[in-house]
Amino acid sequence: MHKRDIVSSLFFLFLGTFFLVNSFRYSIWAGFSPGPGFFPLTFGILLTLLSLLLLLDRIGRQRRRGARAIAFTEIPQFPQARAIAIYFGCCLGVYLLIEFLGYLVTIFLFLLAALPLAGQKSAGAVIATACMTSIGIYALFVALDVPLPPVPFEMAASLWR
Amino acid sequence: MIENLLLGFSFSLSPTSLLYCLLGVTVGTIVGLLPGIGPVSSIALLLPLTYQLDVLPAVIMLAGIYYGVQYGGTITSILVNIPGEASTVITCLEGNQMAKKGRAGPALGIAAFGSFIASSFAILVITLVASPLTKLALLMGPPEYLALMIAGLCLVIYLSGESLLKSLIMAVVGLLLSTVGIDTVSGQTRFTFGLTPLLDGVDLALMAMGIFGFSEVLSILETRGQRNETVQLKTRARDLLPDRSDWKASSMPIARGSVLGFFLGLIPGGGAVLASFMSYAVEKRFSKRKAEFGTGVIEGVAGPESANNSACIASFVPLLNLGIPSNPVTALLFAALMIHGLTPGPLLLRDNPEFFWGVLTSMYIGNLILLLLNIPLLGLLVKILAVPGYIMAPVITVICFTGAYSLDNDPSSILIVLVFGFFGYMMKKYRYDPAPLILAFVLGQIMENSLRQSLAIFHGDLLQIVARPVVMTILTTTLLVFFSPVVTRTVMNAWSRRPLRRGQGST
Repeated sequence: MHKRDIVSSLFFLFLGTFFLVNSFRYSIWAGFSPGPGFFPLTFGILLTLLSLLLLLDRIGRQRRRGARAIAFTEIPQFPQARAIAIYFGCCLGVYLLIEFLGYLVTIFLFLLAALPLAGQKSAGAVIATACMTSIGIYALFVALDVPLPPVPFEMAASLWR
Repeated sequence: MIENLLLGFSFSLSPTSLLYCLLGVTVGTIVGLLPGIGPVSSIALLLPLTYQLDVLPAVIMLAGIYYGVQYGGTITSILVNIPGEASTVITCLEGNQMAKKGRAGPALGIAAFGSFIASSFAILVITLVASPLTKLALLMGPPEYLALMIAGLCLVIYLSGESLLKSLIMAVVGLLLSTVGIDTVSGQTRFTFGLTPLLDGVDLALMAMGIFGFSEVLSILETRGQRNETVQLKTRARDLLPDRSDWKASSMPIARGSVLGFFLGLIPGGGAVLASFMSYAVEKRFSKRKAEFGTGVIEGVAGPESANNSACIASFVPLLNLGIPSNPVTALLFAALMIHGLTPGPLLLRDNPEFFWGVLTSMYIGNLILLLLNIPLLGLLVKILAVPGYIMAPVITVICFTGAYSLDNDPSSILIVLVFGFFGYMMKKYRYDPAPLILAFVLGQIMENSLRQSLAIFHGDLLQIVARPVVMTILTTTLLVFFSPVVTRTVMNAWSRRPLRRGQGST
């Protein structure tokens, strides 16, 4: 528990310091009212102080407990970390390819990769689900008049041009 | 009042409004059934779908999801002993025990009827108090609003999460994120790093999709390939009707739950979860058969189920009448209203009465649809629980990405969802509650403007603002509540040490 909080407090300490330092790029006070830098500065200071408080409190508790060995359960566990990392990579692939390959192809390819990663074992079921989901969601958004350009096969269109 | 209701019904009974109300409550029930997906993530995912709609059907649908979730969550809690939604956790205790004794029907029935009665009560109270409350709210100036927002935020921090310090950190992160984008007064860009999508600030819908939607996908992936336990329900619709003794035992818990839930729903951070837990505690306290609690007592289902629905409806009061969202769901509804060009607050009722009364009367209709939907279609609804995680996770991801991309046809929106999704997943791992972050993010922008307006009115004198009677009262009460655990602990420690010192002195 304490180790978990020490790690996270360090992250928020960094975030607070970042906002604090960068807030000086803007004017802090203008006339009778706060300038654009006032809120980032105030909350940057507050976040830095709060994370320091959390950090010192947890270090203090850890020391008081006197145990150097930290229980395994106190550190966050990441089961299926490899699968999650690859899944996240596939998601980044959607971000990179959607403009080039078009919506339908990108989402279909994503689902082909994502469904087995999520635990779907049958190849037939993967292809069927990928087809139905990509077309179904596309149709739903288009039917509700939500714009979803580029049109499918934008790649072919750009090559033609 | 009658004219207002008639005006509202003339809008909410239109075919379009009815269709979106039905869609909202159906999606809400399904979302409530599925453990892990809450109302916040579903509203965030569906928000982009509403951009092309008129504001009334859009908000009717989103509100329908919110109160529909409370109904759906109950089914999972009673039948599978897994809460479909946080506000139905307590229903597992008595509801599942009743199901094990073969009384799933009356448990589900009383939950549905209790929810309907409580919702109707809450809607009726809002109908009565809306106009006077709005008149009162119009008397308040920017300093009073600022104080109210500070109080609301402090209460959310106080009531959420396992650690006050961690909730405070989350709120400050939310406030800092609210400063990203063009400053409305000076026109300067703040923390945009040259990225065009950040010029208008971080989009709340993208942030919510990431923190509540995509992070959930990553959590589902941890239980890779596991299938939810399929539920076999052999209850017919007529078996769901509670008998006379059930009604006798449940009538007072429903009444108490409705009133308690309404008041707790008004408090920022209170909401449906706190209301259901409080109601259970109250019922246990008032019950003549306290010892039987935990073995399947119908009062333990009727009270909390009424309370969470009443609280859910009541949370619309601060949003629509004061313009202050009190929980992450109403924060998203706040964003939805702003996107459609409506500013929530006291002026909403004055300038757009058809919208205000339209939404309110749609809740009467929505709750009636839910009652009619839940009882005969229960067997069908339960089958949704059999949808495996390995299909749910990629489908949610695709909906997230499609919704994000459709916002402004910019792939960087997908990247923002991914960043916030990863952040939300890590927050869950490191046990930080995201509710204060989302709420602080929404309130941050309004607070900054209110502070600037207040300081401009009082020529930069902060003391004059704090010295205003209403501001002083709100802030003092907030401080007392916020520091009450510290004060209580100090007093208790001092009290417990007193006899010890005497004892030591005498020896």
